[in-house]
Amino acid sequence: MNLPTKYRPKILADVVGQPIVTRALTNALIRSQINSAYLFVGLRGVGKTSTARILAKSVNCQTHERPTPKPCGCCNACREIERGSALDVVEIDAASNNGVDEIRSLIERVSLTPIARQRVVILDEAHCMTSNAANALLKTLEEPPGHTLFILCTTEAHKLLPTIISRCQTFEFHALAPTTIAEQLSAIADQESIDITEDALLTLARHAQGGMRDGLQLLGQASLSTDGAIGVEEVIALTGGIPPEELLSLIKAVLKPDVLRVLTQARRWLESGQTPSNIIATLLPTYRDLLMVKGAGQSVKTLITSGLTYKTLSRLTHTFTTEQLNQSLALLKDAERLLGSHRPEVWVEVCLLNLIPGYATQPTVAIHPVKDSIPSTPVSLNGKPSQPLADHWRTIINAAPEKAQPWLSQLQLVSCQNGIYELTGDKTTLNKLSRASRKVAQLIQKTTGDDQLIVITFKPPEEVMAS
Amino acid sequence: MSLLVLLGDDSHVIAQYLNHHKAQLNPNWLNFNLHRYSAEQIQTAITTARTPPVMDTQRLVIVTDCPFKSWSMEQLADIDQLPDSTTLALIGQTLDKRAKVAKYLAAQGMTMLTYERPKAWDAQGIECMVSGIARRQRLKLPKGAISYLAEALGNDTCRMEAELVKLSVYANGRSLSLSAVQQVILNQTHSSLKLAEAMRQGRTAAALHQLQALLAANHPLMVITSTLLTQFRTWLWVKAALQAGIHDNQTLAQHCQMSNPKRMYYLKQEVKGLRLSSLVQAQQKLFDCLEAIKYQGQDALLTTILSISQRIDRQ
Ligand SMILES: Nc1ncnc2c1ncn2[C@@H]1O[C@H](COP(=O)(O)OP(=O)(O)OP(=O)(O)O)[C@@H](O)[C@H]1O
Ligand SMILES: [Mg+2]
Ligand SMILES: [Zn+2]
Repeated sequence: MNLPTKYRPKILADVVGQPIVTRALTNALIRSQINSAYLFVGLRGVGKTSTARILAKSVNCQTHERPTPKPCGCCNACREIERGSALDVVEIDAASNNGVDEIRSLIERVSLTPIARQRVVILDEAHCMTSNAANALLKTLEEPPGHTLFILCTTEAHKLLPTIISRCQTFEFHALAPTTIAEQLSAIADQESIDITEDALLTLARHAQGGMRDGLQLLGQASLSTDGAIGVEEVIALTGGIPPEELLSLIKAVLKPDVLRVLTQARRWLESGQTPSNIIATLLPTYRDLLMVKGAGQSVKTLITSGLTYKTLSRLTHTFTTEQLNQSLALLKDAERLLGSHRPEVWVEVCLLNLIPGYATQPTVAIHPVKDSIPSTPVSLNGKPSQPLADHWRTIINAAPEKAQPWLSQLQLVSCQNGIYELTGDKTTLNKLSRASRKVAQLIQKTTGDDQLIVITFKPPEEVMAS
Repeated sequence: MSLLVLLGDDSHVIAQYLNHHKAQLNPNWLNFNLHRYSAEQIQTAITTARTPPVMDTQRLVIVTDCPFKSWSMEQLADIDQLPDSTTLALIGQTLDKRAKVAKYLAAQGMTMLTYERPKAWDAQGIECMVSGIARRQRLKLPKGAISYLAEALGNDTCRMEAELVKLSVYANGRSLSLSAVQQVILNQTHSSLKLAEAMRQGRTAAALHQLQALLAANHPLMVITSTLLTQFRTWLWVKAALQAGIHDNQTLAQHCQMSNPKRMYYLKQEVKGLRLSSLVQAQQKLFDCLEAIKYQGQDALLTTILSISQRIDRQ
């Protein structure tokens, strides 16, 4: 049986990490002051549906005569709700039933008197309703039938009609802190007799990124795939992560810089089955942490999310400048977005080599193109590319996917030597494209069929004029 | 009989008023004694209103969206013959007291009530509503909470009511601290301003913790970033004007397009130690960041916050 389902909270007190929600709803039940509509907002797997179902049981539990924060879980009403077979508790997913007809038939159903004390309508992914559907629902919320409780759940509240939001009591479900997740996992591991170290739990919890469901799922997988005690290594292997030692050794190689070691590390990772996107996904939080620790030191210890310890991170930060870290982070972020290369091994190499301070070939968050650090010999005058280059560029454009052609045409090739392509264009175009250099490089590689590493540099027009 | 004329744009309060009336009807016979008509059906509405209630002592007839201006007295002629048991509620936006129809309705003994929402910029009006609802909910609020809530909830009375009920249920009769109020009722602007404040003071760690809290509570990146931009822009304008020798609060407020000159006092304090050039840079960085978050998500904001709060040079 899977852990998230088995350990679905049964009463409000079981819902962890959402103190405001649970206190307000507990009081509402005790005071029998239940609103006719609630809106639950929050990331995936933080307790929205669970809380909605608890509320349904709480108002209908037959062991109690009135709403209770502690539904018994064994009366007919409770059991049917838990099984999902209760007639008066309707759970619909607006992502797949988003039309006005579905909402109308729901509303019709709602107008009948329920058999249970209260009918409860749980509308998941409420932001997916079409606007007609939302307006139909609004009418009902404006004059709610007294015996019906609406609970809208959404991950994206800003996509809901403001008039719908106004009618609901809104509860924000927070992303859960790694320590909160780890504590819950630890309690469950005890009950399930899963042998796992504290550090391993924290690693799992971090990987869950604020969602309890993901945390539980990982714990379940870890217990199935490991005999004996589960340690950090097992968790890392399970999540397809990269062990901290290897991460550290790469960063050291980057710092030295030891190009060969960077290259062999990349190869080893790929050979051991790491996917390129996984490599980036490990490096990203590491550089984020480095940047935070560099900026704020000890006091951001609790915000660390990578596998490295504060001590290690702190030691490393002395060797980077903030600017370098900024650049690398932006670069990794772009790399993540532009993944999909047909030469993944090259893509990873380029990406890792670009982390070496001073080697980066593309600008960062700053939208202003970086000064060119690679020597180049422009073969043109006054910014007007000479014929052969223009021809070469045309060939590349023609071979590019149709979608890319218009924006490639806005660039001009200034020089091209040993795989280093210098491009220019007006400032806005450069600003826009500076983030896409990796894509452009891929395109060129594809057209020329060249195995050579392609490096793109963007030059602002005034620099081309000057040279 | 009673003749009610309910005017104004606050449909929420009007609905509540009517609900109050509805609650006095016998719930088992609502289908016979509670009626809702649109303005075109005014004749039918009056006819219904003239018939005595069924199995009850009262009847409530509601007519919505009444265009009083275009109505003639003939249309409303039979209103004077309503039985005592009927309440006829005519709902519309406005009614000019000098118009013939108005005089006629007044002669029939109408009770006219107007419910206008406070305007969005009318902080005092909104605060008044907040404290009114809070009193009704028996909500004990700490100092500063009313103005915080007014800002967080705005002039949407429906939402205001829902959220204040939530707050009072949360409090459950106990008194709350201001920070508890702020945790239960989120105000995106307010929380982002706390972040701006930390950045301005160069308290990098505090800024990062605040960012983390904002993200955990589902504040959209775009909202955080634009609020930061607005705040830093304000500081930039104030600083620039001060350096140009403008010190008088009134003139300063005009230059900075601030509606409230009293705020200038605080703004002046806030920009005191800051260098104009670092504010110029901060504005630029936040502006770029608005674009960058589309591609790089929260990392772009993280980088921007770090670089501003670390380089916010003090003179
Ligand atoms: N706050 C929590 N406390 C305890 N367990 C939780 C909590 N949140 C989630 N879980 C666990 O995760 C599972 C899924 O949670 P739930 O369905 O309530 O999430 P959700 O917020 O509705 O997510 P989604 O947006 O994906 O629908 C639960 O069965 C439970 O095991
Ligand atoms: Mg759910
Ligand atoms: Zn029960």
